[in-house]
Amino acid sequence: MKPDSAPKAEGDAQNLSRRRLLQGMVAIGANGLLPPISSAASTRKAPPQLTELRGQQFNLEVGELPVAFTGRQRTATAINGRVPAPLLRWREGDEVTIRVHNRLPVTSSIHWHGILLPTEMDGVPGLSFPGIAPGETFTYRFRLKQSGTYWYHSHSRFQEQTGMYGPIVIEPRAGERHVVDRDYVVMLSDWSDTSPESIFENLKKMGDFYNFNEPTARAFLADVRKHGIEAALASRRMWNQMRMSPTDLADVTGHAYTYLMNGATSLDNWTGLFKRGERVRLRFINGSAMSIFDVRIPGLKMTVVATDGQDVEPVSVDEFRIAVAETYDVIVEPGDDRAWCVFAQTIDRTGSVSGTLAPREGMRAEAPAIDAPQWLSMTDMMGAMTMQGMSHGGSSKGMGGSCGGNMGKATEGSCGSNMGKGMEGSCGASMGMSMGVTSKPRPVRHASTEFGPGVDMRVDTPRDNIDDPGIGLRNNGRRVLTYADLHTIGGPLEARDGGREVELHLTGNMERYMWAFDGQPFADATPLHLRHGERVRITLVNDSMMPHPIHLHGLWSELLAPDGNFQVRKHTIMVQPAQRVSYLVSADALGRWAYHCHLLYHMEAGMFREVVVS
Amino acid sequence: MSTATWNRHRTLSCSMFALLVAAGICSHALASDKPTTDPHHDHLDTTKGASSSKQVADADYDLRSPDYSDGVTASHTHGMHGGHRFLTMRFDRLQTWQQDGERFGALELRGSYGGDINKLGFRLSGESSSGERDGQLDVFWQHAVAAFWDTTVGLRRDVGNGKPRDWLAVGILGLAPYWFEVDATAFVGPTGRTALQVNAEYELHLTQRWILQPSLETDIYGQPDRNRMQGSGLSTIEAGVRLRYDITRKFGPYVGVTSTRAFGDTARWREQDGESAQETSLVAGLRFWF
Repeated sequence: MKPDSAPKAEGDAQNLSRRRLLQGMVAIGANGLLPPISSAASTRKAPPQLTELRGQQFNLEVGELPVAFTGRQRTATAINGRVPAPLLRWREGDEVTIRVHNRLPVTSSIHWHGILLPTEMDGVPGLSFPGIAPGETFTYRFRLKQSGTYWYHSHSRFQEQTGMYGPIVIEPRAGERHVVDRDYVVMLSDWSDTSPESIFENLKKMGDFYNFNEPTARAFLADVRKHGIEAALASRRMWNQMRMSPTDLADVTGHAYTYLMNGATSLDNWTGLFKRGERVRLRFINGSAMSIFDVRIPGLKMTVVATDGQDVEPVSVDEFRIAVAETYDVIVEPGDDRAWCVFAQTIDRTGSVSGTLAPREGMRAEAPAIDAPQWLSMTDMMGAMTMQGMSHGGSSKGMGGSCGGNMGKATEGSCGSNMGKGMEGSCGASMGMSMGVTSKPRPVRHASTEFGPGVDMRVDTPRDNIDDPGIGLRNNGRRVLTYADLHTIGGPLEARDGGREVELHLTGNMERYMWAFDGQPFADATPLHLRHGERVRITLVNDSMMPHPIHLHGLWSELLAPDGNFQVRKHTIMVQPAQRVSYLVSADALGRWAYHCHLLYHMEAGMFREVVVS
Repeated sequence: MSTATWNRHRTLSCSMFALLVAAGICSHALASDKPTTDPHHDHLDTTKGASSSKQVADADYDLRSPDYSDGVTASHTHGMHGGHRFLTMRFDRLQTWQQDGERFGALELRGSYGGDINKLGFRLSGESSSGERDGQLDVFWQHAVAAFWDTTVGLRRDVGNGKPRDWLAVGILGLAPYWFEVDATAFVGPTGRTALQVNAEYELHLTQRWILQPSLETDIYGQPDRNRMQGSGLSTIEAGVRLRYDITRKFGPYVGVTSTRAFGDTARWREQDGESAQETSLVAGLRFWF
């Protein structure tokens, strides 16, 4: 062991023993001595907990780590020998210094997701800095201008998929708005024994490689029996005509992934302890490469108090969807002296991960069954089918026909969330009609570059309904959070309206596995230029059938409600299929910033833009 | 230059011209997805019913530029996110069957190397029985022109039985509405011979792993070629149905029935040689790719 090669974390004395342990682990990794499998197995017995570093000076080491999440030994990319990386506890107003030493044989980097900092500290190779070469150390130094729950991860190739992600909690100077008795980070992630390079290659060669929920002849026959041949045919007509799959909910599914909660599989059962009647804050972070989760704690109401580090007016829900890179802070008050299941199922319903809130160690609450997967609805394909949209597109006959008479009527004006009960799965005709939309639809403008091989569909009448919980959550009998429920406390950063509008479309071709903004992959695109000091309105239209969590580095994205009023401040905004969202950005940080879909393989395929503030 | 040679050359250049025109029409039709301000292009809106999402553009689109750079250039040091190239080898068929006590084998291999838009591709297909081999090798440049369509331009060589023949080839390759995989190629040889091959396939998911795959292969020739037993006009049609079980996405054994029917001179010549104009066989094989 070489103690001098181990990181030193300066901070509270009571963390000393934990640091010792940590140093030991890193030293093992550094010397290339792999822990025997038995020790990996023995770590599975006690629920793993996040390690924590606090203070203002940090030493992080990026290196390879043998892991066995599925029982098979694989190599992860770890920070300080941990997956997830250590929780970094910072304090608002502090200047933090983080020395990152790269022990990998390849270039690495760390991006501080959602943190406002100088562009050269942002950690995007090629934009902020050249990256951290093997054997090199890069020193990050910046002052913290914010508080809340964030995270950090590699921005180099696929290192994020193989374990290089960790939580950040920044304590507010003025103290937490909500006083709680317990405070836990719950970091969700996806792990695959298949290398990310192979996953990406498989997707490029076969877009539906990991989809084992394809429409089948068997399901068709079942539909015919249930609904008649006409309805069964009709529900499939448009999908087949357009060469799209109604079950294309996630590119990489449970067939490749094992899902983790704070680095623990469901079997490992991450456990957060509480005493009856205590208020517990859970800071959910989705550190996945590709997986969008629906989270709930059966029997417990969750009060959402913050998203993406920003406090919101408390809202009580049963369930929320967390896209890749988003964070949600919720407060729960488990009243009974029993175990509660923290349950996160993926959007495509091919997998889940669960942990336990328990009064004592060793307890496990039964996880609920995974919901049945649903077919994408016409809402997800066509957006707002306003009357105008209909006449624009042609006769309404095709629509009526293709829904096979199973069309649900919009309720309470929340368009898109109108899937009739009992129709799930069968016929797949989760027809959403946004009859509730009363305002004139804003025209959509496609880019001239959206007409090439890289774009398989375009939405002419996108929906503006941010109150739609999304596919699989509509009318499920639970109170599900939507963006319309989120109101940032204190309002927008500035009262100015966006001076000009920048419209960008999220485009893709599932067959070719091409993803881009406006049909232009990053390599072919020019940067998006924002003038320093301007407030600009960015409008995203999702011309694809997948949700895309779009992350703008260095600047806040202030989401607007359909009526133009300020809604919520975020660093990552999920745009649902066929949806349009607008947000305001104050271009107050000079430099070159990354702007991209946070689904890792979409980003790698080209769904990435450079934003220049000058 | 003798008249005959000249004639042959003229035929060749005419055929070449026709091929190029055909290719032009093909790529125009395929790329016609591009919006146009010509009001007569209304018919391009082929989406049925009231679909408000389009794969084909309306005529009256008000398009915007995707360029929001104000002249600011990219940092260009950020090398990732796009530009990937992959090598794919796909054994669509590696099969064997028995007919009248004789064992036959067939291979259909497709390979490609390249990125999203441009690939170098090849296709090797052939049959063999005791001592006899017949096959075709295509090498082509494959270019994506529309969401679901690629064009191909390349060379074909016929090997095995009879004289080897070389061809120039122009084709389209892609996915037609309702998920039909279509591959149509026109050929012209140095002596002015012309040919057309049209293949179509469909994958019907019975379950997630049991897949029924009907297929149709058609060969049409402009001129008779007794040497290679190819009559002019519709020469052969091969129809097949294969039932495959995908053990993994990349590996699946299958069993099936294929039926080949010869027409016109091809049929006559086959019968003269003691073969039958129509043959039906049970086949078993493997499909795998990497």
